[in-house]
Amino acid sequence: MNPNLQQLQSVNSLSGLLFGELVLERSYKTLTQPVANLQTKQVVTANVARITEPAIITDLRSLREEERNTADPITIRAFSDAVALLEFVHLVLNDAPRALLAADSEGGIRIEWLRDNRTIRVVIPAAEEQPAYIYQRLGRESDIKQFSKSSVVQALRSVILAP
Amino acid sequence: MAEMDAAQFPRIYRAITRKSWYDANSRKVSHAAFVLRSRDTGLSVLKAVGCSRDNCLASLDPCFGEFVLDTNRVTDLGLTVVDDELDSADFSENHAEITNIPINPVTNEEKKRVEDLASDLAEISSLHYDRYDKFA
Repeated sequence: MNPNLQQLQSVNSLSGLLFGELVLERSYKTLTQPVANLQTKQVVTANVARITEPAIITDLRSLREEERNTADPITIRAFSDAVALLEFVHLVLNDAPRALLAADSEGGIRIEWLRDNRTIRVVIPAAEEQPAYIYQRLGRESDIKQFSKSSVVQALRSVILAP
Repeated sequence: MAEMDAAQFPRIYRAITRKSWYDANSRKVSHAAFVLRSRDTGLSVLKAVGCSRDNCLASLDPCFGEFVLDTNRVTDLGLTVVDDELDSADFSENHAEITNIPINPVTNEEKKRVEDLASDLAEISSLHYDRYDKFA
């Protein structure tokens, strides 16, 4: 038997139809141009606002580059936590003073805001299991606080931005 | 460990192994230069310097220069500066360590002490040598 005929016979084109039910006729029209042309010539417009990266995030990327070839490059955890914090601070406190960023020699990041004798420091260790923390100092008085992005903003408001 | 003779070495020098340890704009030494790594027993310092662009007395790579500290101001913070052990495998006559800094702090009290000391040491430090003119 012709193999093509055998293949046709094995497919029941009337499967699922009731006896006497009309079979819908299908019609195909030839496209006037190839499908690829329809896609490439399609004009897509969107209103996208130009977003400028905060300068402190650029500083952070530079720090990561500086550390890339050291024995202890900045870890993904430290970098991503630092980005999230600095973006949050930038969003909430647009007038916050520029932070100083430093590597801790073990893949962690230290972020510091200074004003006169006031300090807010966020310590983000390299490893996930080591919790980040906030150090704040006013003159000789200092304290350690549990880290959260909102706690940092609160500390900046009460220590650095307070009159 | 024997305490270093502060009269003989009134100044000690901390190698700058990270560019981010000094902010050229504000001319501030970062506290991060005075934080121990988990594998350290103390902060390494040199007793005498005379490095050049081609010669690093601390044999470090990279090394961007040195900070200088008054030895007495360091000990006034409750810290001790000790010489290398004579029988130590990596003994160097020109090397000392600032000790009494909590290592691997866990409690908030220990973390506070570590951060206070790092702030205080940065406060009494200044840039002594800028090896590659990175901080000008």
